Amino acid sequence: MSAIAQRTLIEIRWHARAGQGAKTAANILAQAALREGKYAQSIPEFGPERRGAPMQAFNRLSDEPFHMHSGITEPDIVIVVDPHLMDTIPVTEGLKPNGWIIVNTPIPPEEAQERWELKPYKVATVDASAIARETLRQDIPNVPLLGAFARVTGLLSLETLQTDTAQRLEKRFRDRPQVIEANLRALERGFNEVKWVEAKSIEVVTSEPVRVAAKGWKELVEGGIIPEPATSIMYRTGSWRLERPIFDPQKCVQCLMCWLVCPDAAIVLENGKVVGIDYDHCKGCGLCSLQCPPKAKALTMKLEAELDEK
Amino acid sequence: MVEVAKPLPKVTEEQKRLVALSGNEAQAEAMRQINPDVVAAYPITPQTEIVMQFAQFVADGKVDTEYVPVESEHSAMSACIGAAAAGARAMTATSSQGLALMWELLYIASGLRLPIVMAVVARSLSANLNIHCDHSDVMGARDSGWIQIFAEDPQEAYDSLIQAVVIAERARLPVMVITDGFIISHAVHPVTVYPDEAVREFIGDYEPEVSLLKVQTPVTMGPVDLPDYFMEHKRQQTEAMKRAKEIIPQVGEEFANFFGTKTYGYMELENMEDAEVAVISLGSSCGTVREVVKAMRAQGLKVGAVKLRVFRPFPRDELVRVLAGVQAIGVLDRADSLSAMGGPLFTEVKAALYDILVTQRHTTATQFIPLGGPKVVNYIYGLGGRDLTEEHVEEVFRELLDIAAGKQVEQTWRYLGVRE
Repeated sequence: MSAIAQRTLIEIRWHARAGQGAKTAANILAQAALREGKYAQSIPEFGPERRGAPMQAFNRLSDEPFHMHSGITEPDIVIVVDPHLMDTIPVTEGLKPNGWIIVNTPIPPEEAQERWELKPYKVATVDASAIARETLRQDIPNVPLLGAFARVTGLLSLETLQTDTAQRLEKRFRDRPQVIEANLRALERGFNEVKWVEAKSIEVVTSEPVRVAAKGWKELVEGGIIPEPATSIMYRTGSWRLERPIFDPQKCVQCLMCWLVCPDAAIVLENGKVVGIDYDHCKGCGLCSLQCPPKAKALTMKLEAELDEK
Repeated sequence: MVEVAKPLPKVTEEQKRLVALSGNEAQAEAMRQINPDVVAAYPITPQTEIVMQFAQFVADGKVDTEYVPVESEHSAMSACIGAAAAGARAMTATSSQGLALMWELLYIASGLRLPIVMAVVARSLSANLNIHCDHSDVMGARDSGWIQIFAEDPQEAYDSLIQAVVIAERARLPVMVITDGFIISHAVHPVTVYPDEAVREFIGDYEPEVSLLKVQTPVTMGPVDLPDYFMEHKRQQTEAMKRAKEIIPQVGEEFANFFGTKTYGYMELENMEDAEVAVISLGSSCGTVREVVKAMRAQGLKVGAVKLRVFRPFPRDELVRVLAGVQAIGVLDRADSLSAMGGPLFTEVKAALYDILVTQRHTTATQFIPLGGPKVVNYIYGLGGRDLTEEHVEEVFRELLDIAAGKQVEQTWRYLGVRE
């Protein structure tokens, strides 16, 4: 066993979408850990993407001071804020056997362990989105997941997390104490409602992660030039969507305003008429729905999470 | 033994014209003959004449160039980048604050691998306001991924600017050709000028592999480049600089064969074969140093000089081969890094020597190198146009000879010609 692997350091990786509050949650977690006398880091990862794009955040916790500033590749705990990522991103990559994976999903942990092949890990599930919608009236599932984390790992107490969640929100919502209250309720419900199961097998399939081998510098076109046109089509930004525009052809008056304002050319035209939406590239910004004449109302936005449930 | 006759140069002596030109006029003349597709420039002392004369060529219909009179150097380089990305042969010229204002664009030009050629007339940077020569502006750009070629006089400026076009396009890197402000830019020297057609034949037509105007094969230039690819592209850039090390002397030789000139390489040596001490410098001071070497040699003193022509890429191995055998080296810097450890040329020379000496001392070459290698002393001179006199240079050589004779080096770097 390597010296690094023997260290008593807890490493956590968050998988979420930009806008779901994973970075804030990681910050609250670090702050709470400091309050409990631990040493902690919270590391956000930034890309060019906007709201809805898959992102990661990281935490390190330890009783001893530590100083590394590198990324986390072999976490002890993985927290999945958006359940859709379970099917699109290798969330368990590098996760240590018998480590925790905490998923925001209504599915019970036993079923989740089967469905996503999580047998080597301790699995915890909590319907953080439902809790968030009921308490905060919007799908920001970060805080209930913090509660779940505290309960299953025992690394932090609920009380400390309550203090730090309140403190974190204090600045922004000073004049709206009900928002802070709602978050504290969400935190407590996450703590109380999380369910978990032990690892079923300690055997981890140790196959190397499957990746598309990126080209080395000798093979790449010099100067970072992209030598072919229209490559952005290959970037399926549809997975970033939190809300989905639903098109009703019966109500459409064919004013084409949606087509004009769509930043991703995701309104599909046939013979000059709107026929639907390219969900592979629609990021769910909602501009089309805003522009659709109120009398027509041919485009309405629906939460992806709610559409899934149906 | 059969003597292989060197092929005669393409351009005969009769076809050449010997004229009196200032450094700026020589560069403007080269630009006229190069006839670039686009020139975007902004005037600044002491470079102004280049832009002014070139604008006149445009007005008189002597070039086909699209001339873009921009409102700043930032825009000048931006326009050159746009033009070069579109497949044009683009040129500009600047000095001092102008080069400083271009700073962020310099990196974009080299990062996008655009073969832009720029005449830089070296001048100090403010504060305090000073329009005269030093290399602070050029040294500020030394890590921007541009090839940097120093010209000693107007002839070299003219020749180097023509070569720069070929070097840039072959290396796919931007090139700056540097002359010393006022000392060379405004001083008139004899310059041999070649026929227009010959210059155009030498540089040839520019056919970029990819360009934005090739609409049949569309490409994206300058996309966002995150941690997963950025470093590979920088690795390519450093490889291009390594390749440029081969291209520069290659083009210098082709130029000599074509125009019947001296062969341009990384450096020129004066009495280095048996020199015990040597001075290395950049730009116009090299001529002054050379004269002092000749005078001191007449006294039987074993002094030598290295004129470094190419600062980027830095010809480490070539330079070390020349310097490793001497006992004391004086490095003349016309810029201070303000690092409290000497000027930019000094630190490069020392780093280059260390690398080779340490490696060699552990291998087989011990007998060539005196234990500990040569002593290296730095002299910061000529800031803000302060004159470098022959007396100054002789003072340096005398000190180096003392050091070679065993005198302790008291200061590894000091100012030369400053009032204490």
